[in-house]
Amino acid sequence: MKQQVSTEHKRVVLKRNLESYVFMLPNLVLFVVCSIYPIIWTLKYVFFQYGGIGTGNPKWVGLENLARVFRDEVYWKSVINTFIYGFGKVILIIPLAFFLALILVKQTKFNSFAQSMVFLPTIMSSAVMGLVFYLLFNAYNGEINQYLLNAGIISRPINWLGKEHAMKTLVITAIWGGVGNYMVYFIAGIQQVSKDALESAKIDGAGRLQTLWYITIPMMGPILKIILMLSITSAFNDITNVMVLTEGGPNNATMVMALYGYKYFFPVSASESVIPQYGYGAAVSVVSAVIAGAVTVIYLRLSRKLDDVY
Amino acid sequence: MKMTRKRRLTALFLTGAMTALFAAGCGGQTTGDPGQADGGQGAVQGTGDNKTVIRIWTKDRHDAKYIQEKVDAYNSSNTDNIAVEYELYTDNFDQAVDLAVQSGELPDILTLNDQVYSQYVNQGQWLDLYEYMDDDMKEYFKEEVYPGINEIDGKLYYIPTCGTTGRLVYNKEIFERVGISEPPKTLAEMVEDARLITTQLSGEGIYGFAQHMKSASSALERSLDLGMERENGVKKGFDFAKGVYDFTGYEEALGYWTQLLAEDVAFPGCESLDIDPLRTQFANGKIGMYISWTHSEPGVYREQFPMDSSKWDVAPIPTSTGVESGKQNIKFTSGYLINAKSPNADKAFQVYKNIFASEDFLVGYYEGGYGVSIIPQIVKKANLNEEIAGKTWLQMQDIDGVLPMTPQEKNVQAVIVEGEDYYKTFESIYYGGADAKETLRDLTDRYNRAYEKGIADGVGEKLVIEQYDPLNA
Repeated sequence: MKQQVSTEHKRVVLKRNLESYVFMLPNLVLFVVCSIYPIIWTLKYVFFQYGGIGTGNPKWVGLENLARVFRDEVYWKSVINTFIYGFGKVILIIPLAFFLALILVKQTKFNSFAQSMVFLPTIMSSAVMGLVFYLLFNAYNGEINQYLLNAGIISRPINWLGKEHAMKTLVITAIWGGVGNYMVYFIAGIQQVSKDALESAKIDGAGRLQTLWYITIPMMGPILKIILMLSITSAFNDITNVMVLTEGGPNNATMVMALYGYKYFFPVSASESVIPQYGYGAAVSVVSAVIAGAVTVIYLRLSRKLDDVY
Repeated sequence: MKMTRKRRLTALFLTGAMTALFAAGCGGQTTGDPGQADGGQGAVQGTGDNKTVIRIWTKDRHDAKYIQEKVDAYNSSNTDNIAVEYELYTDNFDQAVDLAVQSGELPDILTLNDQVYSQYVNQGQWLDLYEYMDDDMKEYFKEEVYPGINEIDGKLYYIPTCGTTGRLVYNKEIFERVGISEPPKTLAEMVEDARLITTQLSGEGIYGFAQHMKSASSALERSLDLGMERENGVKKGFDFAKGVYDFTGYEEALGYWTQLLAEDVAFPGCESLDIDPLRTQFANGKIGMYISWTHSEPGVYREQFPMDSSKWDVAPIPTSTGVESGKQNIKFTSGYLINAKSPNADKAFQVYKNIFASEDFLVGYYEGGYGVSIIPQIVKKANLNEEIAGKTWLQMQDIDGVLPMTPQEKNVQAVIVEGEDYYKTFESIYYGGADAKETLRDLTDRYNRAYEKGIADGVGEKLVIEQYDPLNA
């Protein structure tokens, strides 16, 4: 009798699990095909010299591609550029998005409209965004220079996309394109702050700034942690912004590590003379992933306090 | 919250359907006929009236209308029971060909693309035209046979009909305004003229020189590369006589380029300039001179960015010394490759001969300004339009010639250079202030190391042309 119950129980559990697996199947297939397989493919080609379809069989080169990454000065310049770009973007976009969220959080018709306007660039095509910013920032007839010249602030056009200013221009573009997204996260976070805590603070005589500093911001710790992590990781992978505006130039002044690896698979127009090298591109991508992963782990360790909500 | 049996079954069915649809989407097509793998699939398909379909792929948009008209005329008049399908692939042509080769779906005919040609020429992918050409055709195109380029081991893989090369494009009005009587012949004169224009006219937004330096390779392939070929007979850094790469001779020219691109001379923002924005500014009379291809500019200023033809002209690219030590290369812009593995290769050749190799087509192509003919008979017969006829240097001249292919041009995978290629390395000199002498020495070493490694790996071959004369290549 006991044996019969046990078999029946196993059958029910198996049936229930089977249903769960079937429900998971579409996502699992997607995950394996779109994430796991490309990662394995990339890891494999790190050890080969291979120029792509029609260029002969891949040739085993052992650790040579990885050793070459460590000798490649331009790659390490691109790593430094990535940190400058990421740091510049995060340090400006987070306070700005938070500020916008604070002033637009109240549900009014104007605020809804303003939120939509700020969010609009997030859903805009990167190619269009690049073109718009090229028209704004180009040195010879860009709108920004025209305004500054007309206002008498500058006497000759500033080369916004030249080696001196290109990185700043990229950061401005990234902020414009991403601030709406982070603003929405912050609005969601602010709306989660306990009304009781806010009311208690008010009863205790706390002013707006005090409430913000001592109640709202600390209580948003967990969501702030997520927003910061998203902004850091996206800064490491952000190549469309760079690709449409400067393609890493001039003279690699805006070359970021993700774009540097990408061009060995798909030479972009500014580097169309680059010969496809899948093996070396894979090695660059793997080292870049390790760097991005290390930064994320360090950040998660340092930001553990943000999980504590008092 | 228990699911009813019906709901559960529906959910399971939908999940299964989603998975099946996704798997089907990822799976791709299976032909079921392994024999198809090597041939052009389109060639064996028949139309409703059982015509043989010959598919042609092109990457060129600028002549698509002209060619489509010729194809339509052929389709309506041919008695060979052939229907030609002309397909435009302007984006990622190379990748599309790679995938088509792998999947056995390569069309019967393709427009010439240097990289695609070189990549598959040793794999028997292209038809030897000699097998199908009659004596008259061989005689007609005998001047267009270049051993080592389109003729390899006695096999002819394509016939180039048009070519292009670089020239200095200048605004005659701007030159006259500042008192420049003739276009510069040396780079020193070019710097001087450009500086003069910028100094006198920058207040009006007019500058002496511009080049689309956003892509160093695109800009320098049509300018510095060609100037150096005439300057010291070296093509893309390769010395055919010695059989080695040598970039050290570029130092003087790069010094002038650094001056040309300096703030007090160049159009603002050259670092991020593409060719079309440059052309719009030239058409607006804001740029004194730049360097570009002969085949493209007449059409651009006639249709794309209209500019009075009398306001601009072209001249040879200035060099450091002005002494002609070699010819500058003519790059082929028109030619067709036939898929040797197509089951209808014979009919594909027939289409090629009747449409693209006909005198009527070639004359019309040149007269229409779609390309600069390199066939003497066509040049003689064509009535050129005003833009081309009035500008002598838009046509091929004695300074131009077809140069041999460098080891890297023959097979890009034979010279895999560690670090930046020479275009990007030059950028570090004229924009980054790198020491030219040291940088060029290092560049030469890197290219030669890569060249020798390619030979050692069996991917490339040693290339030395005994008694190579750059002036009579």
